Amino acid sequence: MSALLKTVNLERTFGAVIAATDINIEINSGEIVGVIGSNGAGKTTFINMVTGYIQPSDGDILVRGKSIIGKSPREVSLAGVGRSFQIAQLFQELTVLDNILIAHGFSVDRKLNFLKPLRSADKVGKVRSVLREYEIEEYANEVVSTLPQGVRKLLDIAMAMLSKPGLMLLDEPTSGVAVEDKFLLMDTVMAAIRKSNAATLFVEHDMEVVLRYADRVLAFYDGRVLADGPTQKVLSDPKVQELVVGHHLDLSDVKYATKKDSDHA
Amino acid sequence: MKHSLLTAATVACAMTTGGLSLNAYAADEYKLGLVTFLSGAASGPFGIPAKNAADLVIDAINDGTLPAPIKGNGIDGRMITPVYLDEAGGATKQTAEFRNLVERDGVDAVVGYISSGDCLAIPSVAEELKTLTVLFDCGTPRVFEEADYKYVFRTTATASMDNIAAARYVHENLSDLQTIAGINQNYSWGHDSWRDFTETLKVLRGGDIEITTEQFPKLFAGQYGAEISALQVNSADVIHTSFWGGDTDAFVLQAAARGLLADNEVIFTAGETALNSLGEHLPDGAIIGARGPFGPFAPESELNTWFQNEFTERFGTPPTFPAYHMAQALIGLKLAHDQAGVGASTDEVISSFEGLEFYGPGGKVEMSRGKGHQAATEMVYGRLTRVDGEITFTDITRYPADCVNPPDGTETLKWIQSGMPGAECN
Amino acid sequence: MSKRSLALLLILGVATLVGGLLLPNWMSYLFTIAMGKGLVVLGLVLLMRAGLVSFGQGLYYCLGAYVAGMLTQFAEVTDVLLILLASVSFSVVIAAIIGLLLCRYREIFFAMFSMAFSMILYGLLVRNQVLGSTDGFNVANPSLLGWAPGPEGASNLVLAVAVLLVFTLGILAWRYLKSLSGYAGEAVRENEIRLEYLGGSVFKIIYVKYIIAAGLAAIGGTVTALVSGHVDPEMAYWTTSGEFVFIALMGGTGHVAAPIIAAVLFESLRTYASAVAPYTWQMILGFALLAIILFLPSGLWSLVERFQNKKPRKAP
Repeated sequence: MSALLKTVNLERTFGAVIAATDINIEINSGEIVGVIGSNGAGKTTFINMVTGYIQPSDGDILVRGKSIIGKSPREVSLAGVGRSFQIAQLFQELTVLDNILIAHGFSVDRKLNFLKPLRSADKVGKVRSVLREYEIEEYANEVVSTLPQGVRKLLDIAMAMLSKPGLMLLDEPTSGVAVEDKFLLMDTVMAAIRKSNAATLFVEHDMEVVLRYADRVLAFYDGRVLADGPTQKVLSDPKVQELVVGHHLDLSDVKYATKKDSDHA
Repeated sequence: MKHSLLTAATVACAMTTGGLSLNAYAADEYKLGLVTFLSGAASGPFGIPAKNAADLVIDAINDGTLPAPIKGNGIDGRMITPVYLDEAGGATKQTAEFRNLVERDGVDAVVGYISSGDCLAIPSVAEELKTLTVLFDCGTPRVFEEADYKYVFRTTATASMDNIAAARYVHENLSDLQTIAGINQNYSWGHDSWRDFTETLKVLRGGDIEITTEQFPKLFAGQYGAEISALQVNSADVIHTSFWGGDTDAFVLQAAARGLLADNEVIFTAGETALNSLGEHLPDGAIIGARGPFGPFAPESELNTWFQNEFTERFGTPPTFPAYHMAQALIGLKLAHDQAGVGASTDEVISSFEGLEFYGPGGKVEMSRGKGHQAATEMVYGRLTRVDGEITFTDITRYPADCVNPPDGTETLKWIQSGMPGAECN
Repeated sequence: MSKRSLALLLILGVATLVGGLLLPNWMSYLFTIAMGKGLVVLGLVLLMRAGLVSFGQGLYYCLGAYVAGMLTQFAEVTDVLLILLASVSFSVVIAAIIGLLLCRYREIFFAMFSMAFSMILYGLLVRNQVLGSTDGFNVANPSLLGWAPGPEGASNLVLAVAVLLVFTLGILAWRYLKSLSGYAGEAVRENEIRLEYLGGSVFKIIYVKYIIAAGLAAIGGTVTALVSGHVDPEMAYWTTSGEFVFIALMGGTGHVAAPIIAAVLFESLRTYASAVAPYTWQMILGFALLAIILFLPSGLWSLVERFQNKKPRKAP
C-alpha cells in the first residue's frame, strides 16, 4: 500500500532564492504530523506545493501514488487533499449554515444543480450534525463576519473536512485564537480528524500545541527538513532547539492529548 | 415569499391609480404635440431654434398676426396649446412617448422629429393611433419611399435634394472638376449624403470622377486631426461634407487653422447653421447649403421678412433652417385645416393636406411626393463672400423642386443611377 | 414551492395580465417595455450577486431585438414562440463563445470588456446599410400559433407573452437562487479561492451565469422589439447597458421581483419626468439615482426587507 503522501526531492526556487529544497518525506493514514519552523523556513511553501497552489521547480509529489504536479488547487482537492487556512477563508457575508451547505454541495454532492433547493431539511440535518461535531452549531444562523476568530477557524476546518480527505493540511489552526481557547479548539478538531483516520499535517508556532497533539514532527530550517521523527525526539534535538524552537522546552510536564482522554468536553 | 408578492401587487396598484389620473383639458384648445431635441448634441443647432420658431409661429397663429394670405386665429378655430416633448432618448422611447402624447395628453396632432431614426419608427404608431402627424425636419428619404401613410406628412424636402443639387452645383461651377473628397459623419445621414452626391456626379460626368479619399469620422467625434491630414494629403478639387451642428463648428475651426479651407473648395450641404457662430472662419468661396431655400437663400416675401425680423428680435439671432422647417410645418398644418374648414374631421384635413401647395417663409412648398404626403421644394447653393465685412452670397443657384427631388413613387438611389429621368432643370 | 404559494402566484399572474389589458394603452405599453427591461435586469442581477457588474447586457438585448426584427421583416416569421426560441438560441451561442474569454476577468476588467463587446456590435450595426445603420428598421406585427391579431391586438399579445415570461422566468430564477448554483454565485463573490479549494470550478459557475443572463437579455430585447415595432443600434450602445445597471441598483439584488418592479418604477419615473420637465428630465433621474445610492444602497428592495425584519443584504 503506497503512502498517502510522498514527496521526492521536492524543490522550489524563486529566482535566486531557494524557498524549499531536498524535501523527501512520506506520510501515512492516521499519522498526525506537526510542521514547525520559523518564518521563511519553507513550511508555507511546502504546504502550498502539496495543495497545488504553487508548482514545484523540481521533484515530485505523490498522493496515493499518483503525481499531482501540474494540477490546480481544485483538482488537488478533488484528489483527496483538504486544507484549512491561517486566516479562515469563508464566505464572509453568508451565515454559518449557508457556508457549510455550500461546502457540502461542492465537496460532497459535487453536482451543480439548478432547481433543487440547497436548504432542504435533509441536507440541513446532515450539516448541522457536522456543526455539532465541531461544537459550533449554536452559531448556525449568524453571519460569519460577526463571529470570533475561533469559531471561524473551526468552521474553516469543518468545511475542509466535509469531503473526508485522505490528507488534511491545517495551516496554523490556533493562530489568532485566544490562549485559553487553543486547546479547546484543537481537542475538537483532533477528535473529528481521528474519527476519519485522515493523515494530518498541521503547521504550528505554539510548541505546547505541537507537543500535545502531534505524533511526529517535521522541523523546517532554511528551506530544508532539519529533522523528521517522533515528537519528543525531534523537539529535544539540540539542533532543532537552537535553530527552530529557540529556547529550552521543558518536556517533562506535558500531557499528551493523543494518549489520554481530553479533560475538556 | 408571500410578503413580496403582496408588495409587488401593492406597487402595481399604486402605479395604476397614479397613472389613471389623466390630464383634463379644455375642449376649445387645439392641443399640439411638439417633439424636438431639447437636450443633447442636436438641441443647440436644431432643437432649440425649432422650438423657438414654434413658440413664435404658434403665438402668431393664435393672435392672427401672420402676414396675408394666412388669416384667422388659431387652428380649426381653437387656440393652439403646445405640449413639448424632448426627442432625446432613442426611437423606442419616442414611440412610447408618442403614445403618451396621444392617449394620455390627448393631443389633436403632433409636429416633430429631427432624427431620421425617429422618423422611421413613429409613422407606424401614428397610423395605429390614427393621429395626424407632421414630420418637420428629418432628412431620410426612406419614410415615404418605403411605405405609404395616411396620417403622416412631411413638410420638408428630403436630404436627397441636398446632395443631388450639390453634385449639380459643383459640376456646373467648378471648371476642370476631376477629383472629389468627402468627410461625412459615420451614420446613415453621412453615408446617404455621400452616396447621393457621388452617384449623381458619376451620372452627370459620365462616370468620369475620381474619389481621392472618403472620411467617416464618428458622429460627435469633435477631433478631426487625422481626417484633415488625410484630406490635405489626398487633395481634391472639392471636398463634400454633410456635417451638422457641433461637428461642423469643430471641423471648420480645425480645418481653418490648418489651412485646409483656404487651399480647397469645400461644399457644406448643411452649413447654414454655422454661419452665425463661425462665419469669420469660413473663407470666401465656401459653398454653403441651407437644406432648402432658407435663411440667406429665402426668396423675398412679406412672410420671410416678418419671420426674420420677429425671430431675430425675440431670440437675438436670425432664424436658421431648423426654424424655417418648423415654421413651414406649422403653417402647412394651419392651412390644411383652413382649407378643410372649422370642425372638419381628421380625414377631411388629410384630404386637404394631400397635394397642398403653400408658401412658408422659405417660399413655395409642394406636397407632391409620397402620394401627396411628402413635400418638395427647391434647393439652393451659394458661395460665401464678404461685402463691407458682412457675409453675403454670390453665384447663387436655385434648383427647381422637380430638378433635384426624385418624382413621386421612385427611390432616390434608383432614380439617380438611371440618369435622373424626368428631371426638370432650367 | 408550496402549493399555496404557487396558487397565489398564479392568481397574481392572472391579475397582472387582466390589469395590464384593462390599463389605458399608453400605460400597458410602458408596462410591457418595463417587463422586457426587467427581464434583462434579472439576468444582470444574477451576475451582480456573483460580484460581476456587466456593462454590456445591451449586446444580447440588441441581438434579441434584431433577431426578432429580421425574422419578421426578412423571413416573414411572425410567431412569437419561434422568434423567442431563435433569439435565445442565437444569443446563447454568442454568449458561449464570448464567455470563454470574458469570464476569466473580474471587476472593472469584466465591466469594460463586456461594454467593449456591446460596442463592437453597435459599430457593426452602424456600418450595415442593409439593416438601416443608425436608423434601424421596423418590426412587423407578431402572431401566435397562427393567430394574427393585427396591429390593434399586437400590443395585447406581447403584453400577455411578457406577463407569462416574467412570471415563469421569475419563478425559475427564484428557485435557481435557492439552489446550489444560486448560492455558488454568492460564494464566488465572497471568496473565490475557498470555492476552488472545495472543488468548485469558479470559471464554470460564472460562465453558466453569463449565458443565462444573455438568454434573459435576449428575451427582453425580443419583447421590446415586438411591442415597440422598431429596432435600432442604440440598443447596443453603452448607455442602454448603463440604464440596466441603473435599474439594478434601484431595485437591489435581494429578490427576483426587485428588477421587474424597479424597471416599472424607472419607466414611470422617466415618462413623468419627461412630461413634467422636458428640458431637465435627465436631472430628475440623476437625482433619483443619487438618492438611492445615499439612502438605500441595497436598492429599493431593502425597504421590503426592513418590513420583514430581515438583515439587509450587503450592497452589491
